[in-house]
Amino acid sequence: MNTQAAINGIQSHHKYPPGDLAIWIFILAELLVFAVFFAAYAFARMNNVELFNQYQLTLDRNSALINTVALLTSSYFVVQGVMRIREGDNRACAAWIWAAVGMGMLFIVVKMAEFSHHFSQGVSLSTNSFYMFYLSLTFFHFMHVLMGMIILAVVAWKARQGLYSRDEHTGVETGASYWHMVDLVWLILFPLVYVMR
Amino acid sequence: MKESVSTNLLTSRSALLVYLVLVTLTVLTWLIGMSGVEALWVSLLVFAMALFKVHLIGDYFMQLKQVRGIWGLVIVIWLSITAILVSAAYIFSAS
Amino acid sequence: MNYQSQSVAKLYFIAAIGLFVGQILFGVILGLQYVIGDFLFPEIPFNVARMVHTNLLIVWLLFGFMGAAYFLVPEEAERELHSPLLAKVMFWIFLVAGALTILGYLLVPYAGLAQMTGNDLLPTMGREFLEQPTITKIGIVIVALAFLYNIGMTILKGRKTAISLVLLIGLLGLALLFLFAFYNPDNLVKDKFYWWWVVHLWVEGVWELILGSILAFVLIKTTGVDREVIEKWLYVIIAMTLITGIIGTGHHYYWIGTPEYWQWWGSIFSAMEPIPFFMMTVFAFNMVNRRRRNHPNKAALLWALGTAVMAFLGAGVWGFLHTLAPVNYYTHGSQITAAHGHMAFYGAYVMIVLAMISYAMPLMRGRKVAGSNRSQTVEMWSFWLMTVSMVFITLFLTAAGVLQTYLQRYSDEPLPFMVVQDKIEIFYWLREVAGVVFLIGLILYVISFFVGNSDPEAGGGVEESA
Repeated sequence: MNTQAAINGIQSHHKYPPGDLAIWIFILAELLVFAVFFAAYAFARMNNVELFNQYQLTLDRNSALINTVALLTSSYFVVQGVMRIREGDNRACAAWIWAAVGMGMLFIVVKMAEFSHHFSQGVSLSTNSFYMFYLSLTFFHFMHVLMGMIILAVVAWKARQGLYSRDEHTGVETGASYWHMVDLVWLILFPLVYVMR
Repeated sequence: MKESVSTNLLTSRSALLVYLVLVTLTVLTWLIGMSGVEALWVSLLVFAMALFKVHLIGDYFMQLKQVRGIWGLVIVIWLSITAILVSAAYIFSAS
Repeated sequence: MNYQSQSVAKLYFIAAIGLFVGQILFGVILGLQYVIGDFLFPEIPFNVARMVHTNLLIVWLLFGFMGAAYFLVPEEAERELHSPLLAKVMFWIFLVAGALTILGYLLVPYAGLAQMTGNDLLPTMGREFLEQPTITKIGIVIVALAFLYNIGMTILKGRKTAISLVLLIGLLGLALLFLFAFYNPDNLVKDKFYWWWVVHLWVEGVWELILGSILAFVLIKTTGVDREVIEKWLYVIIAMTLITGIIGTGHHYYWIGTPEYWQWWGSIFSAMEPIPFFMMTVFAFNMVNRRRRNHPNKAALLWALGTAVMAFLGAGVWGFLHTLAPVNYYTHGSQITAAHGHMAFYGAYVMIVLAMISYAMPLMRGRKVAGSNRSQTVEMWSFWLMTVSMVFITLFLTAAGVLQTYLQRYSDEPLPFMVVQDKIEIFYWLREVAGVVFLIGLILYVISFFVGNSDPEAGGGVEESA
């Protein structure tokens, strides 16, 4: 490790992204699904511009803002967690990752409030194309947030047990990469579904 | 041998800076949405900001800036495809 | 073979191959009936031949999966099977029940079979692929429960590996989803809706887990690549399979009376179903490139690589061809579906069972590592004959399907069904020729078990290190 680390320290470029390569294959596949979903939304909108514009106004942009900031903040916390484990500090890493999970929790609560508001109005997948896409996209993303939180919780727990080190912390980077993907997808989803007209 | 990505390009300072840019752009997007301005170019501007944000996440948070070759470009490639498809649909539907 | 009880798999494999031969014989009859409508009528009408062809396929694959599990699980769990006796008893029950059912199809008119078996008490018959009499279905459940108990206990008491756990989840899902075969609502939309839970969630869901774990097992054995690496791939593949496969069920819900959103859900998610198959292809070739030894059983490795490629083509590419709702609007239920069905089943499930048989059979027959060179050569010939002829069957059916879709549904002046069938007759003939070649390949496959048995083992009975 030591020679390799020394080389890595000088060379700032690597062949593979941080984390397990398998998670990156998975991330790519997930990104592809979301890209298709986004494109489907945009093209379905083409035939129903007025309907989409009309019902977009019924969405709560304030909640969307809170949620976007929540995810960005949690991603930032995860970055901090990764930086701490690279210094070999398991405890600090765990704390940052738990904070990120907390931000994920905030997202979940706000999103559930949004869903329950729409459901109480009798909105369903069959109401119209706009709501179909709104509910499908946000729910699919919602499931990813839950999945990401589970992954992060496992990482935080393992960090708290001191199972990572300065030299071996692929697990932290793997979880971090997945979580950034969840954030990144929302960054497109937010303007696309809530703002762009 | 495990390759651990070096931290020299991602410092606490740069991470915070990126985070602040991301939040600022988000608030800007929200403001545009709340202002009620409606025009194709506004939508495309909002979308461009989102693309830039994603690029920042990829380059700094996911640290792809330090990865050479195809793996370093995955987010950019994904962004480009998404950008072309979505903006094409918006431009066509406005005309 | 490391554990004595693994040898029960042999019974299952022999039965599987026997039923496979039956399936293909009926396939050849069926193919001829496409062009000579009254061939063998009234003894074997078209609908009966079709039922036997598809039912035998499912039954022999189930025999194959069970055999594979009985061979694989003790080796992974590093202990003897919980109860070899139970495995043997269940084998005979399943075989006799299966044989009686097929005989019932052939000898008794279907309505009469329904009456004889008391279908009125719990009506489950009369639905495509689930034609079995209710008592046969109950028998299948009992066999499956006993099988799961046997496998589950072995895993619980022994070493738990990713491969055996994924296999167990796949088999458990297979058994649980089969329960929807007993749910037969009067509402035709609901009937079809849940019918797909058996049919789709089997072949595009839990069966893929079984496929993945068997493939991983064969690759670990033949390439010597680290288990850790292979397991990681397995997890990624099954996660992707489940995400795309479960919601992808929607691609059957376009035109049966279900809400419109299924057209979007079905299109988007099923369009992603090729991804896990593509990963499997990359995975298999990657592992072989990183191999640490040259296993003398070249035939088993050929089947394993073959399944990785053909599953991607048949299930992935040919599935994608007609999975999007706007395309499926025209192609639904045409020969394109038949083309996809043939190559997908062959590529994904037939070949993986044959890969497992190819790996396990020489060991169960007393070889140390692999069969003789001569038997492997014959087996590899059969691989190429069957695989190439299956490619041609698929291409001919695709051509027939494209023409059918155009003439019957897309052109400005659509023609009636039977007129179109006459026009695409040439492709049915070509398909039949390819089918006969497939049968020859299969016969050669059976012969491979009988040649070179007195010859020395390939590679002298030891694995070469690469």
